[in-house]
Amino acid sequence: MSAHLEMAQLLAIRDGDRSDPALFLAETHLAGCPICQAELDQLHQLTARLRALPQLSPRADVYPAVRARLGAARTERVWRRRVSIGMTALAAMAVWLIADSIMAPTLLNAEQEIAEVRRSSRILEQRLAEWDPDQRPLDGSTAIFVISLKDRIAEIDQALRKIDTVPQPPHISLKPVFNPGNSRMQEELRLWRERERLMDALLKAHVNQSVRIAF
Amino acid sequence: MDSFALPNAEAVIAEAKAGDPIALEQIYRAYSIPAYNLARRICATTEDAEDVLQETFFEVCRSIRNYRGEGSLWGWIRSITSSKALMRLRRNRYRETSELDEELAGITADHIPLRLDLESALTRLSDVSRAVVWLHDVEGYTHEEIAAQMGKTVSFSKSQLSRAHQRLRTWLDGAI
Repeated sequence: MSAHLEMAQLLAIRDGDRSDPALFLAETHLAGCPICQAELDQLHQLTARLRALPQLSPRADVYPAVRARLGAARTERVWRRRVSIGMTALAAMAVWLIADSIMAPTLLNAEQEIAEVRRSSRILEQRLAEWDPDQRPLDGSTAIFVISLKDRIAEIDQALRKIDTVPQPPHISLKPVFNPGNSRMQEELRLWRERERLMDALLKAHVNQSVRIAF
Repeated sequence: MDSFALPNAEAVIAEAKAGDPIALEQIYRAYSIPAYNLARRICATTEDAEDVLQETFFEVCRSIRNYRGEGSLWGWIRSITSSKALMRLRRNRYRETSELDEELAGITADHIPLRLDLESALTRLSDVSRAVVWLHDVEGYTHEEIAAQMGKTVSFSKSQLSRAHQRLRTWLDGAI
């Protein structure tokens, strides 16, 4: 290598940058070239002078400005949180009100349905009483079937009496999903439906038995 | 720099993380001068450097809870400062080459004074070249780190440093 080293090569040697494979040749040249050695020495000196440049000081009012910005940001954050909480509460209330208006008819429907099933069940009971089953003989298997039906009806009546004795919560609720009155009404409806089916089966059992006996 | 600049650093950092305003101010007092010098060497004007200093410490105070103590506190503050300063350069649409710089300033090689002092020579460099020289030669960043901060390649950083030194060599000829 006859020409002198380029700045990039001198910098690579100064910084110990071994990524350039040609650096070995440059170092060989440097070892025998006083001009390039002087250039490298000047580079080192320049770096030292850069690091020794006098320290500059900022204006004294920079930190008060930082503090003021921090205070403003904190206030803004507090307000943003308050607005966010308020919006969430409003949204939750809106959801509740919508759900309540959707659920309210369901509760009313359940109430109407209970009244209907109860009426139907009582009509069947009345017909059965008019039929006067105690006076009519039953064969063995029908008698067992009738007894099992009556036992179940007695259990249901007991469960219904229990429901009636528990105080009724108000129907209008902001949280229909968790309304205990809702599930109680569903249970009452289920019991009345079952009672209606059993009463119907009981009546049919007596009627069929008497028809069989008549023929 | 850490232990000299901020005595009892661990306790002060813990208090600053808890939001103690006195601890936050202590951190500012300890590191505002090196941060300002870094900003001042990268930015073209004193006003820009003071804005960068303010933005840096606003960020430091807000994010001190995220500082996990993996490097030195000064290292963390320095990276915020250089990032804000380079952002400021980008916002100001910096001139990337010395040629363009001189062109815009109406300066040709014949008009450059034969000898400049180091401060003036540094000021005369393009914004990007000056930033690379300072970050590499004074702050000790690697070309990889500079390239990542500037969103450029490693060879861009190396060539900027090389060109900047060629210019400084010419402008400071015999003054070193």
